[in-house]
Amino acid sequence: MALPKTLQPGLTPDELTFLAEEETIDIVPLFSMTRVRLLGGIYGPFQPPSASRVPLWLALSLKRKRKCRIVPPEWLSVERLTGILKDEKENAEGFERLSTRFIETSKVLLDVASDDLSQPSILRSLLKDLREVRQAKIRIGLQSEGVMRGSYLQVTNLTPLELSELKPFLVKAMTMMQSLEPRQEEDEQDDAGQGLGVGNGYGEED
Amino acid sequence: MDDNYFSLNSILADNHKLSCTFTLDVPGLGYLEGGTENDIHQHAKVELPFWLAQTLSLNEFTTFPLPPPYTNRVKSALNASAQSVKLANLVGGNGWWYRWGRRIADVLDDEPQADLLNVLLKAFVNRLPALQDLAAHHASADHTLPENSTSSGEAFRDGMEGDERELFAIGQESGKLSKGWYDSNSGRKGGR
Amino acid sequence: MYGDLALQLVTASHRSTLSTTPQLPLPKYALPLILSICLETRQLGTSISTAAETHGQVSLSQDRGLVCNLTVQHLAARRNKRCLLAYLSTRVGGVKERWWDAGGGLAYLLSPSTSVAVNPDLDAPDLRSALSPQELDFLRGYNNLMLDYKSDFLDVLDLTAGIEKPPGELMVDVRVIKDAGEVILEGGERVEFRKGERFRLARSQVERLIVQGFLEEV
Repeated sequence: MALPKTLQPGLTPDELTFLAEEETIDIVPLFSMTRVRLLGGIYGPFQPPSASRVPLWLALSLKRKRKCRIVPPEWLSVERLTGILKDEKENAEGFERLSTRFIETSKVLLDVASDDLSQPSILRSLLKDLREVRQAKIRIGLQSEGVMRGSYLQVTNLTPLELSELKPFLVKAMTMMQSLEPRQEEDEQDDAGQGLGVGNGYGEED
Repeated sequence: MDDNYFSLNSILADNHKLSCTFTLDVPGLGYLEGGTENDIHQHAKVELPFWLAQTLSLNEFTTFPLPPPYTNRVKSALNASAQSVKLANLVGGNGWWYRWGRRIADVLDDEPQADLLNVLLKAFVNRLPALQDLAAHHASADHTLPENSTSSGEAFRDGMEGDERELFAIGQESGKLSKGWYDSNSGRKGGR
Repeated sequence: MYGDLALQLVTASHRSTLSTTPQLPLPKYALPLILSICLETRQLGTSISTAAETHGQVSLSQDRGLVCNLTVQHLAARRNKRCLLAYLSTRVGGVKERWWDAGGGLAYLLSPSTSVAVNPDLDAPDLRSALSPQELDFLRGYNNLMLDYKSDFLDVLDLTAGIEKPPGELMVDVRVIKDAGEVILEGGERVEFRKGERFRLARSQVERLIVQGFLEEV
């Protein structure tokens, strides 16, 4: 196949992170520049200490070169994450609704701009706990009745990252289950008279 | 499970042998028994690969009982504890218990067919949680450590048949990919 | 027993597709085995038609033993055919995959030093000697087909560029791990890539050399 093997099961976390970097975020530039037209859009003007709204990929690039400070999104705070974690733990039936690029964005900001965040180690720990609670629920879900019947898995509010991790396994498992389903009526009419009496080891008398 | 003409898995699954009884004399076919006889006699029992057995049986040249991996004995063991049964022992280290079972079911009458399919499905479904847990565990385990084959998880792993092993590998791979991403740090390098 | 040779072919083929990374070298085209299988199949064919001629229409419709015998031979021949086709089809798929993994670098793909770099421990044949003449022709033809196709829009998009990792920063720091000699970059500059040296270049310029193992990202 032309597509490399690692990309065949679905979007990889790296690819999803790449997509997440399209989202915009506020930065405080440490340099001055007039408005600039790039292929992706028009950004700026950059005038400290005013904030500018730019795509995340640009924010990260500038941050790595120490040319800006990043303004954390309002959901990336110890208070908010603690609240989300609590809700997630209390919700036994389903998953909490997170923003689509929640996991990728939070990880990338912690990696590149932890000095712009308040209490980054607590944030990391909260995010880790959140992931573990959700993963545990996914594991339980995989052993639920719907899956055991080969029909469906309830994945409402799972983020694309979590879904892409789950998909290859789930698809193969459910495909196998469906292939072991009892045969439908129509199939058997085609083979009328062709079956054998096998149960006791003797052939059918003609 | 594809029955694709070009699928290597499918071809190998069709090669499983089973014991067949001929319903008539067939001159010249003696070589199937492997001996020096020229002819096959009625009621002779011969081990044939499934790709032969299937058509011969559909045309009533042979009959066969349910082969050992699908007998009532196995069925009871599965009912007792599906994940303790070593499917790999039933069909050989590189065997395909589900695929072959399904191929056999295709040539059975309605009732035994539904019965066999049910056995296969129930076994798969009851083994799935153990398989999934094992894959998740191996996705994060440090693989520089020696394998410990005494725990029940590892015992299950030894007993997995072909499709289960592929499923396990898929689960392990996606787990590893995720974990690798979570553990990576894109902070310093300025790239991926 | 009929079909045993064919089974060997399929088993060997299956074993070689089991590993995903690193890409195993393609095993040598099993010409002797294939010739034997074709011979066996032809013999079966002859045997069937001879028997059909000898016994005539009436026997064929009434002598069940004869029909059974011929059915077995027929099934064996069909089985051989299926195994052969599956073998060839799997190999063709493997050849195409290797072409794409090498970013379309045909010369690199066929050079003897390549497989040593990929799998220094194994006594593997290099790709060129592992392929049959027909497969080699196929590879060249496929290469030409793809190059022709991608040249139409090469100014906008390079179809064979690496896509495994999404693009990050524009520039990349590299270290030379294998002498590449003098290389002419896109803009016309000449750069001498000597082992141990470091460079900071645009990723698009050196992507190919990284894939082929001359450079290493730092």
